[in-house]
Amino acid sequence: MTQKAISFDQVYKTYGNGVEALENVSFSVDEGEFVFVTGASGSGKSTMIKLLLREINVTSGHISVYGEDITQLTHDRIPFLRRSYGVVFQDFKLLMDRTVYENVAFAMRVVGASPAEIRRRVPDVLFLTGLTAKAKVYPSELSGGEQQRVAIARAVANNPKILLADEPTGNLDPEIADQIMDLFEDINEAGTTVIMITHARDLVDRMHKRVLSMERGCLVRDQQDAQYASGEELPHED
Amino acid sequence: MKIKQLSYGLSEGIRNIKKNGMSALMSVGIVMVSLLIMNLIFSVTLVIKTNVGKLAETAQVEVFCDPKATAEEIAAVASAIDDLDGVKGVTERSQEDNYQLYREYLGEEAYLLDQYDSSIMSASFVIDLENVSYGEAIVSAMEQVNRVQSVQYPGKAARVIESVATGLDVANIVVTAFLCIASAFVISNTIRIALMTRKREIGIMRLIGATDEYIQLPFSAESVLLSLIGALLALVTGGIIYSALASGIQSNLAEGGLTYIQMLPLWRIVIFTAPMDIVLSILLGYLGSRRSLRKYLEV
Repeated sequence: MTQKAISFDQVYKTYGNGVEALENVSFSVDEGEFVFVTGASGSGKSTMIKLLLREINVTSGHISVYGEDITQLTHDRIPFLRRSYGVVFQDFKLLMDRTVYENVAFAMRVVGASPAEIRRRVPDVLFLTGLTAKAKVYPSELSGGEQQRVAIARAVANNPKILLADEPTGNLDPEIADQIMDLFEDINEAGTTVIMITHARDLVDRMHKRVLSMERGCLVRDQQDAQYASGEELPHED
Repeated sequence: MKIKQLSYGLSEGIRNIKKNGMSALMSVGIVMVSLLIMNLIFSVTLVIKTNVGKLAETAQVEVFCDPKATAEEIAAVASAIDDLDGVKGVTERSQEDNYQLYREYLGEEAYLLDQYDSSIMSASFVIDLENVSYGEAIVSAMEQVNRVQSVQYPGKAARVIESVATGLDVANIVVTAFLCIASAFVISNTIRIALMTRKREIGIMRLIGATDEYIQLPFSAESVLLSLIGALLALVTGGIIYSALASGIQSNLAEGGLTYIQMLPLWRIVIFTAPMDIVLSILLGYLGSRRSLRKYLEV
């Protein structure tokens, strides 16, 4: 039986200013799945990522990650939750004063990896992301696509069970975006669960993965092997 | 805390110091000035107390008779001394003896006494005490004796000077506390600037699962390092200033014939100031960083 990696159960999130970002959202993601989350700006996609990272907490409802209710986590346990994810952002969030190697090593050092582990793992990850030749280069000397590869390398350096990506191809040319998506697919095939927020219709349509569509804080479509827009709403997955 | 984490904290702390040169320099400067002032006041009080301590242990009282006292009256004073408890021995100095001693004391200026004879001087008795605890009782008793003009007891003066030194100690504590609070604010501000500079990095660290302790460590290390550098500079500068002043003062004292007042060797100062400076600087650094970390890191 496949294990559930993530589960949202009747999640509501209302911000302090009264904005209802999520309204009764329920879905689950199995281990090893690749899921796109689509929707217009303000539909609640980024709120989902923030809730998963516990940057914010739910107003009501429960979110479980590998069976653990993360809405009940104490402050000092949150870093350990975040270690179970790799996170990739549209703006890469790289340390510009450190080389590609150091950026990846930094992520490992933060979680307490030994220098020997770092020396062993970082070259492997750079090879996986096609950055071996760029190890000593600073991010400012790289193209957008290469910078996103560094961000992906950093995200997978600690062998996360789940990869969260928030518009990872938003700043990239279509051709480069395709390459990045191929990389995500490779990582997913190696067993990592991938949750990706995107507006990139072409990419979603090409990949034929599960799609969760958000609209004004509600989950309006949950469809396997889907296109970006189906033109019809499907029932939520239990 | 693991050694690995500590070495990370130190290396990142040094990296921060290099990045925030000017504010780091200000922190080092204020800590240095604060601890330097503390060290110098402490050195002065230590020298005074040590010399006063020696003075207080002087177990001698000198009783001066009225210059016009007759031989019988002086003999009566001697008899009164014989009746005292705690007297180990007595040396009598006639008016002539004291006249000669004073001429010796004046040295080249002894000619000033040429127009006088020994009748202007007092006869005196130098009383050796069995121990200093008898000092003040003997002074009180002798002051009541007929024809006794004055009683000199260095131990009494020592107590007055000692109370001045104690006052200096209290002043030092107040001044140091004030300067330390100012230093902690400056350090805190340096850490605030470092936090602002590394805001993006801290955000990334949080996202990839860094604990609060891990995020705070470089900033705590930075502030403790800055304070320690300040303390080290205060020790070196204080040492140089003390050595220069001590040798100057000592030679002036020697010229004035006050050889019994001794400046202390530098090591006797440093064995007290070094541990004080190190402990205080670590405390300052820690408290300074805590203030900013609590206020601006939102952990």
